[in-house]
Amino acid sequence: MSERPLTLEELTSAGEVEIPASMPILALPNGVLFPGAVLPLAVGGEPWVRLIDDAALGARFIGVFLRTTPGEEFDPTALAPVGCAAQIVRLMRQPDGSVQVLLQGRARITIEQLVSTAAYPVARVRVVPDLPPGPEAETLARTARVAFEEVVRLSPALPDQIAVIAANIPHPGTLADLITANLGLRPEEQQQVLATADLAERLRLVISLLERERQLLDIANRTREDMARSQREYVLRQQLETIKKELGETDERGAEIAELRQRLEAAGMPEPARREAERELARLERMPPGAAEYTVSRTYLDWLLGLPWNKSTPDNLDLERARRVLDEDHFDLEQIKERIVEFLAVRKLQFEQGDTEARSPILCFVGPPGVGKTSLGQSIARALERKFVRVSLGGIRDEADIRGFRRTYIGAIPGRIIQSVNSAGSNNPVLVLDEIDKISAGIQGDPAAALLELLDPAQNNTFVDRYLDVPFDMSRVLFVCTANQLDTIPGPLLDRMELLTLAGYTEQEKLQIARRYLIPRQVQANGLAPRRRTTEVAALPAETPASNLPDQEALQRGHAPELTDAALRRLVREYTLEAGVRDLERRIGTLYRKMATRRATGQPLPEQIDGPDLDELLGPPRRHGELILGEDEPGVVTGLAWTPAGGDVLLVEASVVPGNGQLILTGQLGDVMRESARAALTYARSRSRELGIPAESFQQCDLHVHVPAGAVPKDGPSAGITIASAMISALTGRKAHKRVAMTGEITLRGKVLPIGGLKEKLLAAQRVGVQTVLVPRENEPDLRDVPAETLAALEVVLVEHMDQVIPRVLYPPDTPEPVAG
Amino acid sequence: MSDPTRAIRVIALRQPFVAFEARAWRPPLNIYETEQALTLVVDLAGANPAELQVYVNPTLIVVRGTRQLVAPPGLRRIQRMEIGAGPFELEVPLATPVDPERASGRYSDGLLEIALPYASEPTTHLVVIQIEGGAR
Repeated sequence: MSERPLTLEELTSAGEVEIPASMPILALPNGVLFPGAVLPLAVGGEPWVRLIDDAALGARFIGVFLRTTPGEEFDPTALAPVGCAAQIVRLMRQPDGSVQVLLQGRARITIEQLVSTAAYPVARVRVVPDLPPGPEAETLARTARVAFEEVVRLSPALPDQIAVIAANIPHPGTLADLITANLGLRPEEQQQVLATADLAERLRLVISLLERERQLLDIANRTREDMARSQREYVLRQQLETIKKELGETDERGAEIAELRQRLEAAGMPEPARREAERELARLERMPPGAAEYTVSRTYLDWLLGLPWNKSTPDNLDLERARRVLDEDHFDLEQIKERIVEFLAVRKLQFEQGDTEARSPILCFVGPPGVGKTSLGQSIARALERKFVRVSLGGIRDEADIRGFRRTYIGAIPGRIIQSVNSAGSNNPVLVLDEIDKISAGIQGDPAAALLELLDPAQNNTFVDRYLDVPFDMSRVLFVCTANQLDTIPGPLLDRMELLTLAGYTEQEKLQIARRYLIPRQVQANGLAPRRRTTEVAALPAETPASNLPDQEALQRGHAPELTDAALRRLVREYTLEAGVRDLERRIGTLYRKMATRRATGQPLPEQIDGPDLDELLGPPRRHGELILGEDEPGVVTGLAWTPAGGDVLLVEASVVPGNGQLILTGQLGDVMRESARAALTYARSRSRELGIPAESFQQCDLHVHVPAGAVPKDGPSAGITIASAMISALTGRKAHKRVAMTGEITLRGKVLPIGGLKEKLLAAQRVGVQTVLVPRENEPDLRDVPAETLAALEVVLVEHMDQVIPRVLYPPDTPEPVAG
Repeated sequence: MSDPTRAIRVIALRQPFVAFEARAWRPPLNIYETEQALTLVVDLAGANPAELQVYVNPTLIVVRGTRQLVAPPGLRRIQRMEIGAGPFELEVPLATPVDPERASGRYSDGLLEIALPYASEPTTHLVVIQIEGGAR
């Protein structure tokens, strides 16, 4: 051979295989063979196996064409116009008679003419040669190569190796074929490339196919990444589940959710609340248990589902029974018991008429401490057989305490109202709002404003707690408020309530209460009631088998010393000073505690405790009625006052001292009282001649008015006539009767104006042993509320003017020396 | 006639890609490396050594030839066909340049052995070497 160096191209282009002019034709249903490509084929059934056999024995060439339409028979019109001459390079006969062949594409061909169709089609073919590539084809080939590399990089199916092979294929046409064969395209698309003889055009087609493929892969890859992430999460979750199971931790959360759903079904919530609960439950389900929100959501659902949406207790509408229960628990209080029975009667009628949605009234008990306001609420609940809950409003300054905190806050909880309804477990309890006069507006908003909605029967069927954020029907709750005074209750709130006043008890009432309620309770509380179970008591010889008798009867049998009326009266008069009976009960408690100590130490118990015994048991009395009032003297007049703790008796002192006509007021007097004192002074000056006051004393003397106790703030106009009387007494030197008490506002003309709290004041007057009380005539109607016992004990004088007051309170002007300080 | 769509089908390739091979077949070969030379051994049983053409370039060896397999007389049909036959061409690129002038070839027992001493100095000569030995 020649010594001339051959170029590489010359070397590799050598070795062309000659293509025979005619060859058998095989139609491929789903594949396209490219020149140079290798295609494994399984061929079965006649005449196709024969075709292969014959070809293998001969030139080993077959013309392979894509069949464009499906069908059984050989149909030359169904063949794609361009096919591939293929050589059989491997052959393997299978036991079932079919053959597997490995075909290698050699050249593009078209069918010139069918030569025979006898056994199988044989055709004369024409080779479609690849033309030498022009510069355009070369440029396009470079683009195709780069695009193919990108596709190979993106595709998980194509190995990097194929890109290397593509890079080493010099001929642009072959490159296009290789790329097409490897992209996994549909046969029709592959056929299109095969049929395109023009190199540049073929490459353009391939480039567009590559671009489409690149985009598809891009999307596929992104999808795969997402899938992989969720798949990973799923696997991890499964593993976690398995670990938990291995550790014996069962799927608590699933059970929890199921339980919540069950509760939701059973809760019988109204539609808005139900919707909210379902939404929250769905949220909870989606939440990972570790999320910070989880507990918040869980707690909220607990509250929401735990509320007594549809749970209520049936009212006992037996009026007689109710009356009996009320009587058992409280002495007297006629007005209130009547009101409660009325309420029951109305309920009963409504019930009989089938009206179950009837609204409950909102009652407010006003009175001094210890008169039984709260326990009346308990009694009402007992009479109606409703649940009893109590909310103490004393000291509440934050509106959120009533209405709840928004769920956005950490540690948010519902307000006290929802909390108490929840703890009642029924939606129609008796709810006592204690100390409603002790709420105060803080910087967090006014709690009273929140109560406005709650206590309005027209609105409270949709009471919305901030925490729950869904309306709860409060209209079936029987609200009972208690207060010591009314002036601190905001007007709008007061307006919504039905006021029932408990003024305090008279001495006689206190005796009854003590006998019926306090003594049995204290005997019981101090272990003096006979109980078989108590061994200490059982050991006593006095023990009788009748231990199941009521305590009172047991008492009468002498198990505990009896308190005589005289003793009780002393307790009320000398050891306690109160409108209610709390202190009285404490004193009785003290007595029986001492008895209990004696019994426990084996000392004999007295049969009864009489009045004089108290000195030994309780020490000297706190006070005597006499002691408070003391001797009559000039300048000291007895007044009556109203306090949140009931009525009180106070002494107004006035002294005249040398000076220059000033008025000195001491004793923590408020503005109204100071003005009242000025008015009293002006009245006294204006009437000085009639009253016998030396005119010059107003210029040369100072008048000092003092109201003990000096540490207690006092206010109000009702001491007007008392101050005036004290001034006149001091200025004239006439003694004042201390057993004459008075109350009434004074005008500059000396007229006596009405005052409030008469009942309390009269009760207080009776308590300290006042004989005569001067009362403004305009207060006459109020006397009807005053117990008969009190009226009998006091001489009540109705007055209209100071002229009627002075003769009653001051000694006659026969002792004219003025009192000097 | 049976359904050709069922009778003829493309077998899913075990290879991950469609192989392209321009040549009819390619005989397998070994390449040995010693201190002094490379040795190419080509499995060419049944080939006529006289018709083998071996071109030696410093970095490329090309072997061309034909293997004619003679079928038994009265052949009815082929059961199996695995041995490549017909014209072939083998191109072997070399990493280490060899000296074409000192290359030599030998055919024996169906194997073609080509000895390729390393080039001592760069050269671009192409040499066609003669194959010694064994007629079949």
